Amino acid sequence: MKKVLLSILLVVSFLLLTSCGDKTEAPLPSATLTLEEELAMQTMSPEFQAALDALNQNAPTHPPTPASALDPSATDYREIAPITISPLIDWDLSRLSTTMAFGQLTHMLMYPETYVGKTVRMKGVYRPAPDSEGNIAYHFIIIYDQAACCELGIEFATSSRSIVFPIPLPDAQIELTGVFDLCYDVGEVFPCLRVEGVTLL
Amino acid sequence: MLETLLHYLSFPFVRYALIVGVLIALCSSLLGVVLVLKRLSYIGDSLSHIAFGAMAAATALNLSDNLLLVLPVTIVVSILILYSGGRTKIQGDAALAMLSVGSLAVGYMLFNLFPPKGGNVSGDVCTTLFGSTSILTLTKEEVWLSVILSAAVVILFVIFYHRIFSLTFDEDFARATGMRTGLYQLGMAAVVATVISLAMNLVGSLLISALLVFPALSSMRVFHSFKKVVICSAIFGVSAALLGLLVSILVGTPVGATIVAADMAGFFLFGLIGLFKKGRTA
Repeated sequence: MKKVLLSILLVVSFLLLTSCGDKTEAPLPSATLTLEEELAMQTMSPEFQAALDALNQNAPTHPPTPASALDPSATDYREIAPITISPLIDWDLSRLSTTMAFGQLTHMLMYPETYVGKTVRMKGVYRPAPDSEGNIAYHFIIIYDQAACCELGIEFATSSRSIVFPIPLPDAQIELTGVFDLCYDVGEVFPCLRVEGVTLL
Repeated sequence: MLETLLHYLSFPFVRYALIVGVLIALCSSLLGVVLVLKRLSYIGDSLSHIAFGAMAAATALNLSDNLLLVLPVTIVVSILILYSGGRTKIQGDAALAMLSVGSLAVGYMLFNLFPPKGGNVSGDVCTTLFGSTSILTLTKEEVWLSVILSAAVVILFVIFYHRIFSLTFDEDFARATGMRTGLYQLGMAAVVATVISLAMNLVGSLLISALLVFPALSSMRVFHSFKKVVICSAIFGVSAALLGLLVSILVGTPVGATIVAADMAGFFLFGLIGLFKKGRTA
């Protein structure tokens, strides 16, 4: 009986260990693409490719990186060329339960490269942050977990250089639809959301 | 509802959570039978508090992987508690109480003095104590580590089943027959500590005892042989963890608390089944 149980256990363990890495089961959009493939799908310009090649060739200790993964020509991550937000939502966090939305946002913040260029919709709480002069300069959407003791946030900014959205009150419930971007500022890399406006709930 | 569930199952972190949750519940329920029968039910709670303190220390030291510190510290303390037995000046429940509350207090103090990156102290304490979302934020490496450790625990339990049986019911007799009880107790202490360190991701420090105790006690309501209790406990633990996880992601409730609520519901159900069985045989 013990040998049978042990055999069953070994087979199950073997199956678990081999099936976990199986990439053929219903892969998510861009789950198996590398960062280079992802960026190539979204930004096909030869100039961007040349800039990347130059970076790889010269490879200084802290190479200058584009301010935005979606607009490599931008010098400031908050001023990039207008982006068309697709009506087809790739990741709709607004329809998920709080547990799922929190978990999915965590995954997006842990592996931002796989989500660059994806259209995302999310609901949360608006939180502004001031710059060094005290003016409201940074905008965040915060999602709480079910116990409301943990919070996760992502910065959002307009994709167009000219559109300025009406600023909500702090802690107002908002919904955003935007494109996920990887932003670079003062040596820091962080995810951000490119939006055209803010919807108050 | 089914459509929503199938949609949620397409998310990789949900699949990771289900795999790890099921394995941890399986290991906990197997070990829980031994701990309950040896009247060591509270050891899970004490060790989890110590693991919390170790986790706070790991955060203060900015360790990339908390398990590097949590696992060895919990194993050492587990061995000291379970292996030293009556050979210490401060014994039994007093030692457990001292270590348990001391670790909790020191851990919380460390979290406040050396806040984690991001600065959300209350969030991290809450997550560590109650396991609200940590099971949903596992990396692939953590999943693999949990799978390997869980598989090792289950394999060891199956291989040493008869020795564990002897040790549980009559340690003196086992020693008299030549079994190296000290060595097996050492191994048991290490395995319990490993399972508790892993289970903190699932239900948090404060609720770990539920994973150990409820499956065993529920099974004992209905079955009265060691083998049947072990098998029933494993099935009960896995089912409750699975149900709790699925309800939690569908409805949006804290993962740890939902799993424990499922355990409690199962316990009452098995209690009723046990009463019904008793009535029929009386």
